[in-house]
Amino acid sequence: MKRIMVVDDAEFMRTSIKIMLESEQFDVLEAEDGNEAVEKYKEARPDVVTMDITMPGKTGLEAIKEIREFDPNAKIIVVTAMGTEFMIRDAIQLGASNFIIKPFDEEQLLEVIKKLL
Amino acid sequence: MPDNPKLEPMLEMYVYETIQLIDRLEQLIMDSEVSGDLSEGMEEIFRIMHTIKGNSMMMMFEGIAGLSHITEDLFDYLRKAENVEPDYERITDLVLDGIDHIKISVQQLEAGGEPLGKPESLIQEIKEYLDSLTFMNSDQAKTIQKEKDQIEQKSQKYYIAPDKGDEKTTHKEPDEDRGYEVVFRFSAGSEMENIRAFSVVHGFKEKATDILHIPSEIVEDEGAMEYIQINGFQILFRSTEKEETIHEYFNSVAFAENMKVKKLSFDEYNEAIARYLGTDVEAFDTVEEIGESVIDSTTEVQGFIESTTEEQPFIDSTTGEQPIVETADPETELTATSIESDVVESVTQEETEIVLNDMPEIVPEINDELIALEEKAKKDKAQREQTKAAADKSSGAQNYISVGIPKVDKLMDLVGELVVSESMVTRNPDLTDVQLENFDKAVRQHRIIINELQDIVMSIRMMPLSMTFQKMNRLVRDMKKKVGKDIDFELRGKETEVDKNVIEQIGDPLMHIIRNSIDHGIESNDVRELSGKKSRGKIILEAKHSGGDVWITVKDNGKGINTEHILNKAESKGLLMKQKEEYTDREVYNFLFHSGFSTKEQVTEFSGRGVGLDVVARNVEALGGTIIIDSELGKGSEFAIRIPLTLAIIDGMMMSVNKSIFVLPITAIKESFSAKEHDVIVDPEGHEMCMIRGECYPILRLHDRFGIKTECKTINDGILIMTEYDGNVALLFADAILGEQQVVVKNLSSFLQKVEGISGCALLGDGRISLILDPAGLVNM
Amino acid sequence: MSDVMDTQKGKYLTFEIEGDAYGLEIQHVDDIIGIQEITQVPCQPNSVQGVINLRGKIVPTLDVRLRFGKEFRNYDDRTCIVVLDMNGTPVGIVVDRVLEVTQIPEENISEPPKFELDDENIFIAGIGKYEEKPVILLDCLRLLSHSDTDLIVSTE
Repeated sequence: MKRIMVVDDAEFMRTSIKIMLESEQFDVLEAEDGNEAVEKYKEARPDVVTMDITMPGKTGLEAIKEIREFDPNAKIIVVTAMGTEFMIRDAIQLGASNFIIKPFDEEQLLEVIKKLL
Repeated sequence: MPDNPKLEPMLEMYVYETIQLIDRLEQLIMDSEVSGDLSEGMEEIFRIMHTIKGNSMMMMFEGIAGLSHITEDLFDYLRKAENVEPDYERITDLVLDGIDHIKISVQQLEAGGEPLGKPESLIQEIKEYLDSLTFMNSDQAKTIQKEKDQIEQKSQKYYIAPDKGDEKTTHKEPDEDRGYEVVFRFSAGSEMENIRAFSVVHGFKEKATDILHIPSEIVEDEGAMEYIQINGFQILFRSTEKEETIHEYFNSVAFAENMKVKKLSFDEYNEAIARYLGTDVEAFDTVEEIGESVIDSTTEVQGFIESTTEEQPFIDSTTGEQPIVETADPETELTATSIESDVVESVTQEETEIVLNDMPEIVPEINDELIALEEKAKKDKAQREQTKAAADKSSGAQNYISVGIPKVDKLMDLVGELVVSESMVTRNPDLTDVQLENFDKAVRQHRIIINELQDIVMSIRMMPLSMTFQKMNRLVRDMKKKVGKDIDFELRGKETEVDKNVIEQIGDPLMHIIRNSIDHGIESNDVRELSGKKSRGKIILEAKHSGGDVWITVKDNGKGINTEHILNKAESKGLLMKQKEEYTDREVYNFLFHSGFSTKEQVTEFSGRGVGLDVVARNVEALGGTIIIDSELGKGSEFAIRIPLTLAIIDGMMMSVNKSIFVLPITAIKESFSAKEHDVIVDPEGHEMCMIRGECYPILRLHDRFGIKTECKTINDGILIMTEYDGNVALLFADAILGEQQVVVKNLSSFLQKVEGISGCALLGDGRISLILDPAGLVNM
Repeated sequence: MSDVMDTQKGKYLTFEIEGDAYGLEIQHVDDIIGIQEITQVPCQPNSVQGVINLRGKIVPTLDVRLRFGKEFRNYDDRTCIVVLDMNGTPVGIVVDRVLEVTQIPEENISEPPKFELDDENIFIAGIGKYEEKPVILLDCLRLLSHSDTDLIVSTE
């Protein structure tokens, strides 16, 4: 069973994504912020990470950087809202594999994840 | 129901979170209005709108999403811009209107319905206000944009690393180095196709050299997105990777459609380069030469990209439109802009009129537009009024406890049972004559623990009144504007905690009392002046614990209650039972609680027809509490609500009728005595009465009323308990009084028929069951 | 869960009233306790004796004899209260004595007789046979619902 870490400061988003993933038999792990994301990545080594890059505090971008430093093969999907082209571009340069834009539905999320695995 | 079926289970969470966020938002925005300082709350407000927007988008609630989006934009601007003088009142009004809309939508969702449609006019209003800010600060905006551009430029450095850097590929065997062209589209709706394209290219750069693509600019150029949507994306590159590897990579591109990967021949590659560079390139003879020249051209291409960014005219970051300043034709444009800016700044009806009046030579089309705007504004205002009225009516559920309520109730029941069973153990008849020292010690310890447990469990249901008070804040703010009175509203003790049940029920009565205060209590500004009152009208809402009760009081410095008016009104309604002079003030005030009683001739929008106070009294009583009025003519009034903290436990007087034990709440008892000392009279219809200090009170034989066989039938042998409810008095006749006891109130099973005069039952210490008497039911026989 | 339900099917608690054996489906039975003090509650139907304190819970109790229109019999030490579950609300019934829990297969159950029209018949779901003796199987719901025939009379 593949493991996916969902990083987002909004519980609502984490739970929404979790619901979408668990129905496809993914093991889901949650993190509330960049720091937690990095720590949990090191511990649990999920197969894919979804990262919200609009969180306050330690931004998703920094977390992407650190995770990729730790594991150059880390597969990270950026989750963001419209109007953040530059952030996405930066995220990709830092090593993010792909991105999805809010609002997204289950199909889009799964498509991106499946292509990564 | 959310349109996204997968997210239906999220509805409850969505509603819960949104309510929490909205409540917090309301608090923040009103605080900032009062303090005249948005800076502290701004960041949080922005984040709240951002979160609501995200959540609503996931649930596909477009109305809420759109509204929160524009509000987010507004606050994004406010938090970044400097030297902006926000119009606090206007902003607060807009945000509060938005909050009302969202509140109603959420309520409808909670009830299983649909959220409201998109509030177009409100969104438009917010947008216009935002536009006016940005317009006024177009220099500001220019600077912000300039900063943005600089950041972009800096990040240019991180843009696709020049392909010249890749050592690996250049050292490979020439025959493995092939050119490829890849063409594909992104599936519809995948969004930000240009960035997706960037991600594809970026992810591939370690596997290829000399990567060219059409369109060549993909990140900064928004046009690229559209281009790719329509025409697809094309990549040309050289690579020494195995063909399978290349296919594998491109097949793993998410959202890609019609993916075509073509290995190119030497000639095809040359041709392609020309196409991609948009220049004519001479055919090359060797592969290496191709390599070099391609490298050079790509550098030029990159250079080209950098310079374009600088020259781009700035785009208004907030509206995405070119501001008016940039349009051609200076002459006519000047008049147009100045008018429009005035209009944009002052969108209210009245001010629009002033603009119209002051500028008789306005270009006709603009005039018509302004008139149309006016009409729309009027209509939408009316609609918003409705929305707001609906929002005000709702008291709605307060904050949820994170634990489901049934669980907490069950926990409370169990603790109640535990308390009872504990006394059943300690007061067990088996133990009456036995001395057990160790047992007693253990029992005492046991009791201490149980008491503490009970306290804590009771406190779980306790919540601060702050949310309720916040609602009152809003009410006062809205009302005082409407009635045009200057009123200071002070909240005290909002952290005071009460049972959740109380929180849910107390809102309506409080609102009514405060409305009364504002409407009838506080005089209009002129009247206050005339009567020599120096200070502004003031209302204090206070909550505090005292003894085992919570006191919630509403005090105002208005005109007070005119007892004469009330007495006259009471007289005209035939409610007087004695001479006017004999009534104490307190008794006079109590008339206000009679239904249908109102000394106000006019019914205002807010306080209704005087049917309010009797409902208020009933609501308070349903909570087990009482309400007391105090007032001084010309100085002000005070409404005090007292609510006992723990409702399930009452102080009762136990009395027996043969083998049955009854408990009567102490609060209902005035006095008790043996009948021997007083005269018992029987009237012609057989009703028994007793004279006490010159007053005649009816006797109610409990054994008769409840059909209990008892030996004690003579009044003189038993005991009379004077019981009062709602001004009515009756003398209950029982066999004997057994003493006072605190009892835990339990409901009689729903299986049993309801009995008037009995409100429940209680378990006594020895395990016996006593019936709790309901004074209301008894006295009104 | 369904296993438990299945094993409960066909099982009856049998008890005695005036020498006759009666049965109730075991799935409705929550508890069986020895007779204890019943606190009278005024203004209830004749058969409702009052309420009992069952480990802190208030359980209304009715006397089956009175429900059937039979004569009241003084309680002795074999009298029991069978606590039934009426859609979440517990209700107790007083019976002369409790017999046992037993399986009565369907083939041993026949339709109730229709010719007699006294009170009892409304409550009968069927007649079962156990060890060659008839067991009157009662309809729990009908037994416990308030019927018109039960008059509100002052308690004695």
